[in-house]
Amino acid sequence: MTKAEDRAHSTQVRQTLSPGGPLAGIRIAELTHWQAGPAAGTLLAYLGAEMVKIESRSHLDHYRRTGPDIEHSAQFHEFNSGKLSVRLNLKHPDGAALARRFILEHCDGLLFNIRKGSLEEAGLGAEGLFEERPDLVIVSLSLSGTTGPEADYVGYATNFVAGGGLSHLTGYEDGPPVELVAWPDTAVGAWAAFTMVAGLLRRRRTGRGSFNDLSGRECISALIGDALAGQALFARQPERAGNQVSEAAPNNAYPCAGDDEWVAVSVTSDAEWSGLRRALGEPAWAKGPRFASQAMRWQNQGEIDSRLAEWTSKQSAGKLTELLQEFGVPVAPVMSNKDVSESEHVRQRGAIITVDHPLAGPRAMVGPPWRFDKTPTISSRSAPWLGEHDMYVLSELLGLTEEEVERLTRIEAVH
Amino acid sequence: LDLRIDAGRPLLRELIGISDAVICEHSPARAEALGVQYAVFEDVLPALVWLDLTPFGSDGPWADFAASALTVHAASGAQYIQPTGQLNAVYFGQRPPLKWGSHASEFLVATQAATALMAALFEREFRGRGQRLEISKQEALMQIIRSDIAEYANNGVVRSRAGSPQQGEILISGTMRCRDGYVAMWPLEPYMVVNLARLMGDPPWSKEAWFENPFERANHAAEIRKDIENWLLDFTMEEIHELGQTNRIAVTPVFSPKEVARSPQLASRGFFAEAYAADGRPFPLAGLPFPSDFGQPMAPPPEPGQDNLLVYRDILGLSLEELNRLEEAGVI
Repeated sequence: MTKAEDRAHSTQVRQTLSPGGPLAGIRIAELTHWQAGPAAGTLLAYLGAEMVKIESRSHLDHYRRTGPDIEHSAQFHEFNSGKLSVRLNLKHPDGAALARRFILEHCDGLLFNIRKGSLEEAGLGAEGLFEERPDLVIVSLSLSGTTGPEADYVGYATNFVAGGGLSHLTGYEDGPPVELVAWPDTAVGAWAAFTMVAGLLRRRRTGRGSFNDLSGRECISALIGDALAGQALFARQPERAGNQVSEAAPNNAYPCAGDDEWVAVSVTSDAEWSGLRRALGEPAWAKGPRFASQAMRWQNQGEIDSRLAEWTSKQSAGKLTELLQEFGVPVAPVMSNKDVSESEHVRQRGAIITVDHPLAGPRAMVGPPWRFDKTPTISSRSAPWLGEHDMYVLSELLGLTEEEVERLTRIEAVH
Repeated sequence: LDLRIDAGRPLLRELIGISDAVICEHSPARAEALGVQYAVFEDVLPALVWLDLTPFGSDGPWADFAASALTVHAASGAQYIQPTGQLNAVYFGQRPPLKWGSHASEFLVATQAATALMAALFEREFRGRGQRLEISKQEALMQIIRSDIAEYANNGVVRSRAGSPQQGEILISGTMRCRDGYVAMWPLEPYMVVNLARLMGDPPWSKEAWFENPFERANHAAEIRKDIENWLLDFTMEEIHELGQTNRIAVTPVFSPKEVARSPQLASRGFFAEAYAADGRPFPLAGLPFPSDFGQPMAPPPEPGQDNLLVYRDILGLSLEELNRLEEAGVI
């Protein structure tokens, strides 16, 4: 890109910055890699915040290295859409100093999930930043948080869910725990976005910033609060239970006629049970006291499961869904990623969007999970290429001349 | 407050009038029948923030589908790909797809809903006006497995419980048995594999020339993995946790809820508040996943109507006579 093109692109970027969303006008610096931190950043971008990812060739986001080259990684695109990228090498004193200036002078928040200690090494420790900017909202993400006897322990998404208690609870009643891979990072990212917005709201009301030290394990434990309370209150310890839950019976996935085709059915009330019986044609087995109440159905759900499976296995999930919905029974096909992508309901809701990447071309992705009627979120920007917004951040915001940026690039402070 | 009784509607209007926000989880048809809709309040309460949180969103062919946590999870694409992992591979084809444990999927939807609601409250601080937002639980769960959905949408790859081709150190990682339970062993960084081999007493494979090269090492993953699995059987969860982490290896026990509740790490960070059940028994109440002085101290959920007097009498100003009359009429 020539200098003139770079300047034109910078202007274009400015014009499309935060055109909507409830966090429009908020700028957050991101020092993130892998999945949990970047996933949080994408959600915040989906709320209209200007997310600026500080990165460099000296410390690339791991996901940039999972494609044929650093601009064509599917995973990087997926978890970094809607963001800006500025190259600043934190291992170079000039790069670190510029990052510090950018955060202190131009940002409302800082989101990071890089190795403990590396921010301090770059002069970006939370304490120092707070001294100069007590209104900054900082969200740190790590396996166990930065305090406590296990603060230095290392781990990934699977370690979050194992240590957080969710793996233990996921699996068949007579089987081992289930590995929960990758998605727990996104779940932890959702908590990090929650924390950033809570911090911004509090800052607006009190003027005070905050350092929020998120623990991935605690993010997962916070999803099983009922089981954590239950282990103290009930004689029966919360254990793996397949698809069973205490408030519904039947509550399971049942085989259908197609290959690996399943339908999920739940009954949470007598009215829904009545609907299911009518849909089944009032079979003799479903009558009588053994299934007359929710408590009895829960006790005898094994038999209901067998009977239902026999019935569903001759039909398609689509037909069963249509039929049972007519009778007011909670039902849905167990959908694959293909089924979701091709679903007419999902299409009509516009839940999957397409963004254009200047180098990688158009790319489909799951859009924002929310719709705001007065401040709609604009989510048309793809993930940035490395340093795509150097000129915007370094020249327009930090006021460096082109010559200075060139010099910093030569010495690899901008890298 | 029984919204099915017409006489309850004016009271609903008053309750909403003293609120910053409303979270409405009724389906669109049910909300309309009960008169619990943003359109009813928008003009008279312009600063109100209103969240409609429904299984499949407020519009589209499935908007009024009867639904449960399980059916929403099923429709998000998340259930179809569970379980995974070598320990569970044996079940593929024999057992149904699995939901996540406990009520995790609902809590994850709630996290995103609370985030969006707070964002709307934040925005209201500047503009002075509220707004309506809506969240489909299905879409909130699609968000959590967004890379799986994108994999089909962009590359036509259907994810299955049978797994997808894996590479690198993932081949020697996974949930594995130990003496008294299971651990999540994920030595994903090359240095972790080296440290693990050293801890294991330098097995023969760790002295081979190919061991130094991660790509060549992957060709011998089955052999290495089998040795790791056998080695782990000599240790308890706690022993391998401490030994592994002291040597910078990403290994964590698969903790039960009871073990999580007793975790010294979580205790040191004040994750739990102590709450008491109606019969006086204490139980741990999970808090926010970061030490915080945000908001009120955590309290257990209220009994139904526990705060009737506070809300109806002290805040709305109803007299005790009026309250009695409304209770007798079945409105309260």
